[in-house]
Amino acid sequence: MIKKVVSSVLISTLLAASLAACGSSNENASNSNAATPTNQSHDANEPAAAPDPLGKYEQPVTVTEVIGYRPPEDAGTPKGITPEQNAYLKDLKEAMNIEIKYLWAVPSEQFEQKFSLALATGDLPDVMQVDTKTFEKLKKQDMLADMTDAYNNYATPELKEWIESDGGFTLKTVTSEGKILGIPSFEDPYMSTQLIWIRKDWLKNLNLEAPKTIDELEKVAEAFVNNDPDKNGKDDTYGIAMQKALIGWGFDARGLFNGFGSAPKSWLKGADGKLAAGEIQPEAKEALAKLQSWYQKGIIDQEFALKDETKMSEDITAGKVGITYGEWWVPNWPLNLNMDKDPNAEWEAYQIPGLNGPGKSLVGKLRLNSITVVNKKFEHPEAAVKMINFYNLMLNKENFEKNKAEDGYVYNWFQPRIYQPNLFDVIYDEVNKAIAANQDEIPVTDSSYRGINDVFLATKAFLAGDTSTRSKGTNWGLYASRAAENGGWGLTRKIRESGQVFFNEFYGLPTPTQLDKGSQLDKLIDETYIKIIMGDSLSEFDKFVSSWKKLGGDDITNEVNEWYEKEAVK
Amino acid sequence: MFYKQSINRKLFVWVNAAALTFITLIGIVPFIHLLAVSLSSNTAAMAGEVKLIPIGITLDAYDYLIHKVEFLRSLVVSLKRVVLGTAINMFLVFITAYPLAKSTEQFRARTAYVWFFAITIFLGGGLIPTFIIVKETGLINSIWALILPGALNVWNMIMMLNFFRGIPKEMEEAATIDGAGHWVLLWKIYLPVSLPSIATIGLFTVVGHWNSWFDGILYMNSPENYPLQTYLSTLITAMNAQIQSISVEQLKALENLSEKTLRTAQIFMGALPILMVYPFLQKYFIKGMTVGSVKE
Repeated sequence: MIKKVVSSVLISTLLAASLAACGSSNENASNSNAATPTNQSHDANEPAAAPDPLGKYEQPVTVTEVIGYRPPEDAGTPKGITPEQNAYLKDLKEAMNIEIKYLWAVPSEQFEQKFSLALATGDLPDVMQVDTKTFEKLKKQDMLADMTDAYNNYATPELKEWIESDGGFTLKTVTSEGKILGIPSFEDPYMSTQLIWIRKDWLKNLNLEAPKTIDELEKVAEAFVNNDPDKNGKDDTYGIAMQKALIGWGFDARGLFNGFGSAPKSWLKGADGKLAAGEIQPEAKEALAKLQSWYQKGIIDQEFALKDETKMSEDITAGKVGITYGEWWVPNWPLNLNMDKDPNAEWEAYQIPGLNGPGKSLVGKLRLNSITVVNKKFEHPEAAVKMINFYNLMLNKENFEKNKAEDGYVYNWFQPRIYQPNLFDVIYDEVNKAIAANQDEIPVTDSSYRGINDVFLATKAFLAGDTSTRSKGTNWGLYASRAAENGGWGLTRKIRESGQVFFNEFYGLPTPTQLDKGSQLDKLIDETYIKIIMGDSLSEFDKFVSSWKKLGGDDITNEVNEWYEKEAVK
Repeated sequence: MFYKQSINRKLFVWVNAAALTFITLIGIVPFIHLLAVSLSSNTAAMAGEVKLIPIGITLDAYDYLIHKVEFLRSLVVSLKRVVLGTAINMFLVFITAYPLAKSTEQFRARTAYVWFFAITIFLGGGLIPTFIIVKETGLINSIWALILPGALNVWNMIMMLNFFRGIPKEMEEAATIDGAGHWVLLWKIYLPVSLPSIATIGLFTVVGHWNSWFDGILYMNSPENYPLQTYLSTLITAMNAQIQSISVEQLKALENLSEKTLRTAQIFMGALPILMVYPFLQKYFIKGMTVGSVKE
């Protein structure tokens, strides 16, 4: 017992000392006017004389939060740990004198429900990390604090660089009447570039070339259905992975629609310069006709309308299917599982097939993940920015190596957290540089260290055939998704450079009619599309277009165009 | 059994048996599937190859489960809830049903009271007002939030009331002549006689407490207070299919979902205790209710 107390005291003093050290070193680099931790005791009763992004409050500041959390990612995390016991909170208290109190914590799947309840009963926390819809709701009810000063005075230069890396494009979407109402966390929109992933070993088995056009893709897929690509003598494979959410987040039809130059549930610029909804364009009808014929030929699973992403991942793992549309991350999950199950499996990414040669993929203008906002009633909006600063500091090499999951550091429970927008490019460049120079360690030590190091270790292990820490599939998954030249991100970069994309022009927050009727219209789209693929007459599409317009689609089109004229950055 | 069986009768018995077997199978096959998956190797489970027979049998999932703090903690909360909740529910049902089962001559305001209770069956307070009441009474995050809001189940109370009315009046009269008051009547006469219905209602209550999960999400603010079913529901909820792109963290969560055998093991273990209650209460369902207590 005494031992325990002594060791925990020791640990916390050490932590405090090291944190103070990093704090001061960063300040010196960033802001020479900033008060250093040592002289802060002098201005005890002067509130915020000089804003210090990493300074410590004189009096403890309690910040309430709510959290929707996922299980800790690291298997070594102490069992049964809860968000309140997260070691980062203890460190935050020591470094900045900010105490986080969770009003409630629920698993992330239940967050939306619980949050709506809190919103309805007016029981909101001080600092929240919310999605765009909630942001819009809170903004309308005038519940958000003005964070302009907090951001300008308290954001570290690094954070400002991240936030303004797109020329203030994203920041503008969370600014209203000149007031910054939240700190956005966003990523490179090209992360949603559609690729097609194909079993290369199956292509070799059947002596086929990787397809460049949709017709070629159809031929390859037919061969995968009929010619026993896995050479096991059984008719147990089908062509292309497809599941019931046609416009979803994985193993879906987005890539195929893009190949036809269409993009349902997105806003495309028409010839007249106005925005039009992708789901009602004639190109979407052509893509549906193709899917219908594929369904008849057995290229897509006859039961696709009953399958979800999890089921699809099972089919891929089991080696039942050898082609799937997807983004950069597919090797990470579930292709890695297939690699581990079948030692012969080899997957390769290609640009999506189009009508004549490789097709263009849809990308968004904006990839806004979440917005950190502050309750209007809360007196310290700058505390939210300081907490973001604190967390970024925790990502550098020194802190990352010290704060082990075994000691209760659960990074994905800490809020608010802001993504580094160009992290994937940094990872790609740095890992490839280090591998080319045959280094044993990466030279980077700043906030991107954690992201780079993970991929670097996996890449090195994969290339050396080392499976001592992780399975071959897991190593390959990290390598092929983020570092390989022709892997997920590698190919995405090439597509970005060659401009083989078209844009979803609407990046604003949901319009009033969208909030009202959006889910109803989405349901109409999903149902009609699936019925057509499963054999309904194609003329159903035209009927669908007119009812879509009547049920609110026209209103939404007008609102979106109004937004486009007034607010879009062209 | 002793009469001659006609063709029609035979046909009926066969069709009947087949239909009942089929219905039973529908009920039992999912459990066998769960058990099979939980006993299989993870690769086979992830590839969706396991149907009703385990592939690559291993007890790894169960071995891990007995050390899994979250599961055990929730199990304790659930057991506490079932024991406390059932005791309170049964007590309230019993003492409320007794006076309301009396005739209007004995208890004049009876009808008014019955309506007072019955109206809550048709009209509820709604989610948010109920939540506010629970919050303002300070029950949030305590086990009482799961027990007190539904402490008197009116539906069960009315069932009990009707059962009491079926008890022959003569028994009550005989006891009264011997000098028994209401209290003695309640505990010495009504309680022993109504054991079958107490068993039935008790079973409903136990199952109800065991299976309910949504109130756990509403009223519990930290996961260590989750009852078992609330905890289990967090394991099986799928990712929102409406999103068009997933973040790096969501991806990481997907990767970690590959513990399919562990998930199924937990769901199976979650259903097991309640399955084991049935055989013990079975005899009360079959037993006649008040057969032979009175000769008309």
